[in-house]
Amino acid sequence: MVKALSLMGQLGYGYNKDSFIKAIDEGVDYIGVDAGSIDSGPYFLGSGNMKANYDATRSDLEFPLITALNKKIPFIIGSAGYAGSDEHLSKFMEIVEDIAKDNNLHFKVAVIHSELDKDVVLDLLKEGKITSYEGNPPLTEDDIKASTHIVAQIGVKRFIESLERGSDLIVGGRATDASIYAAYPLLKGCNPALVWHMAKIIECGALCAKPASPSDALLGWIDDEAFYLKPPNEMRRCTVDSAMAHALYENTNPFVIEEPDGTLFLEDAKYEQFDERTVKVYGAKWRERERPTFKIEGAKRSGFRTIAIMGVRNPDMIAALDDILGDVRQQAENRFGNSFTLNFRQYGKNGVLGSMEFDGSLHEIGLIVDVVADDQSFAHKVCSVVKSTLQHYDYKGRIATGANVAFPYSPAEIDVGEVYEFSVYHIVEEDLNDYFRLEEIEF
Amino acid sequence: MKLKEAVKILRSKNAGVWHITIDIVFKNKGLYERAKTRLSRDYFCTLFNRKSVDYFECDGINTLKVSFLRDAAAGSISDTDCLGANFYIPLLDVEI
Repeated sequence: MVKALSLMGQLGYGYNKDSFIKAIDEGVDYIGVDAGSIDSGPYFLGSGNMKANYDATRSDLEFPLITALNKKIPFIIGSAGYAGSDEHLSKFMEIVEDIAKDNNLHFKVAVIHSELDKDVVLDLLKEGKITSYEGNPPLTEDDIKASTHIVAQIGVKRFIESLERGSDLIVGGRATDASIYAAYPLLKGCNPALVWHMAKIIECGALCAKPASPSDALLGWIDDEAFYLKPPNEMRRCTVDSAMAHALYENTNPFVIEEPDGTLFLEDAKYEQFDERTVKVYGAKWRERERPTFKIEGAKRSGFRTIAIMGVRNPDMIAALDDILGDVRQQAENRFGNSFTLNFRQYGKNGVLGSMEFDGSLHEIGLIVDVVADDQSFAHKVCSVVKSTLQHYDYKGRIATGANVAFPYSPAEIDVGEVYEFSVYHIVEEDLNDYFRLEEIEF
Repeated sequence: MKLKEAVKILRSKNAGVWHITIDIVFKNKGLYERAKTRLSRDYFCTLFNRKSVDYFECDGINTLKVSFLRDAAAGSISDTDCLGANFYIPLLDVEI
């Protein structure tokens, strides 16, 4: 039997110390935690900034790491620093180094790099080895050249190598969530179908328990016939429904999960309630790929943003708002050309669903004037002019000649800073493992 | 009966940065079978204004799953929902 502890759904959300201690007392073979994602948008990959800051990351890492080192339990982190570029890894390693220094700890770390050189990606594109991901637009040379960082979601190979080399802590760059948890049991010879299925569910911590939480731990263990999931926290339980629903989460296909190293088929998976708080799962199939394939992710800087937030409450203005906004946009283009992007976000009307909105009732609109331009000062200027045009716009039938909109903030213009967009999200049909440099550091 | 009354889970979420996936987990087999006769791939194409969607009927777990391409990648300048977590809203009041 091999037993895994998933510390939490994502490092930096605040872990549950009691659950962690309880799980460690019960005995586990390895600890895993996912420290990143692509969920929060392109900013983090593009800028190289961490999402959970130094303090949030350190407070989730310090005690569990010290405990793991004392008990000689391998500690495996994936997507360290959030998005997996070298910049993310080095920011994350500053925290590891400070924890080592301040606690006088001595241990061996394997850092697995996942950032790809743009020239490598350009060559792969020329060789026809990069394909679209389930129908998204094809990758172009310009997309690659414009990217600030391009990373690959690494698979299990380098994690296994790091474990074989006796690393106490593995700090993985951008990695598939399941690879973090699959490496150890695969190394120990567990059934790959059980391993990958368990790894796929356990990565979100207690998010697959009831009540669900991304900030609490989950135990998973594998024997000869099945794997089992149980939250150490006694207020939570894993149920057939909660585990099954989680296997669907964030996958386009409910039965097929693609990993760099192979494909997991869930059609015949069986979920059974093993005891009150434990689910037993078996029956998935795994097909190893002859040659691994990798998902690559990149982001580019698209400019700088300035926004202004205002409320529109006058019913006559609300009725005429589409025409007013159209005219205000035209005036801005007449004055500044088209070297900026202007979005009017109308919360209360269609700010969330956009063209899919179907409910026409409204009495108040939260309007965001959202300007993106090549530099901050120009974005600010355009936003300011658009805001002021709206404020004084003399629409038909206007009787309130004070100001048309309500500003909650002074100043109304808010400089948001750099704006990034995803530029790469594609599949590489080539074994990239040689590019994932394994760096060994001893403290 | 409205769809929201027939389900345990009705959610949408990004699957990667270019796709939205919607999970509809029904309360029981009867409601799931009833919904299957009223919902279809074409229905979702029309509702979400897509040329095509991936549509899965998961009989073993009383679940329908629909996945489709977004108009733009998550977090793009024109995007309204970075997590893609609100695309189930048009389904709430659908009659099944």
